[in-house]
This record gives sequence, C-alpha cells and structure tokens, in this order.
Amino acid sequence: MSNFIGHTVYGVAALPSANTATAMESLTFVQIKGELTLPQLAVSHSTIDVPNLNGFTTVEKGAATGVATTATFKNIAADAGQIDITDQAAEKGGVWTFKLVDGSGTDGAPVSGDPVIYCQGIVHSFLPNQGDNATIEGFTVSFNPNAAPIAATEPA
Amino acid sequence: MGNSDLRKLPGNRVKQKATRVSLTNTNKANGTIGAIARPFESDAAQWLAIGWMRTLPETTETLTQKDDTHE
Repeated sequence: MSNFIGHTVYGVAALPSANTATAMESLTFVQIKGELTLPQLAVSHSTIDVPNLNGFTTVEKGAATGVATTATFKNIAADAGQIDITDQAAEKGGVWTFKLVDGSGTDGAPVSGDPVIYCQGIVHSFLPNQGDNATIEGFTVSFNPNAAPIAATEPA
Repeated sequence: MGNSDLRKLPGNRVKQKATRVSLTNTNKANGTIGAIARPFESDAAQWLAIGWMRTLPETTETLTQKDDTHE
C-alpha cells in the first residue's frame, strides 16, 4: 500500500504551449516547500439527459471541467515557491501549473523515472490560517484546473 | 572491425540527443513575463507562436573591480 508521505509540490506561474508531458517538462518549476495538503488534480464531467418515449431517459457524457481544489502549506520564511504561488494567487489572471512528484531523490527530489503529475489552471483565493492556540501559521490557496491532468515520469 | 566502423553500418547510427532551447515569456496570458521555458528545438515553433521568444544571450560586462587598498 502506498501513501502520499514524501510527495513534493512544484509550481510555476506559466502555462505550457500544449497540454502534454513534453510541453509541461519544458517549464521551469520551483519547489513549494511546507506542503500539508496536496491539491486534487482531476476533472469532472457533466451529463446530458437523452429523453426517450420508451420511458427510460438515458445519459450521455457531457463536457469536462476542472475540479476546484485547494492546497495547504505551513509558512516557510523566504521560500521562493511559496512567494510565487501567493503572489500569483493575488495576481490578475493567476495562471499556474502544478507538478506533483513522488520523488525518490534526496528530500523527495524527482529523479529520472519518478512518477509526476502535471496540471495547468488558475490559482486564486489565498487564505491565511485563522490564528488560535492550536494552529500553525500557514495558508490555503485554491486551484481550478483548466485542462486534464497529465501523468508522466520525470525525464532523464 | 572497430567501433567507428560499426557506427557506419546502416541502422547503427548513434542517436543524436535532442537539444533544448531557452525561451522567455513575453505574453501575460502565458503567465509571468520573463518566465523561462526550455522546450526541445523541434517544439519551439509552437511556443514562439503564442508569445514566447528566444532568450537573448547574456551580455558579458567587464566590471572594473574597485580597488579598496589605500595608498
């Protein structure tokens, strides 16, 4: 059984030229340290009802949309990745590409052949944690995919 | 037959490693202006078509080191 412990998050405030692994891996990703919850990178489909006078309405598969998700982090001072994603969450447009890595290198760094998932979309709605005596300092950002996630492997 | 002779045989060509090029984003719709991408040369056209441009080579400036020694 596997789990998500050790997975790392990378991101970049840019979109690839195409929704392919080759285009994704061309981007210059920066690690976002302090990840606590990984975004769920997925799409969902609408359905189209097809009525029929035989008394049974069938359903066709409709258009896909990205599933709105969030990622949470604990504050890491001066972390370049955290600065990038919080800046972009506030920026107009907010284009963003995530790279989730099940890395086998030092500190979860990706090495050739490791499984990765890419997903492009928009990042928005930066929300700092509410302060109390039982919560660490951190934040949540929201992410909406604008294309299907791409499963790939870390290139050589 | 040496290795160089083997490479000359049909089907034994040494595969050339695909080269990557450095591109810089100039279109806000693609993300941060100045972001760098390194696609394969063969894929560069589709990046250039949407507002990325080839990264200019860094200019080499000769900096005159300030002499802090006191005479």
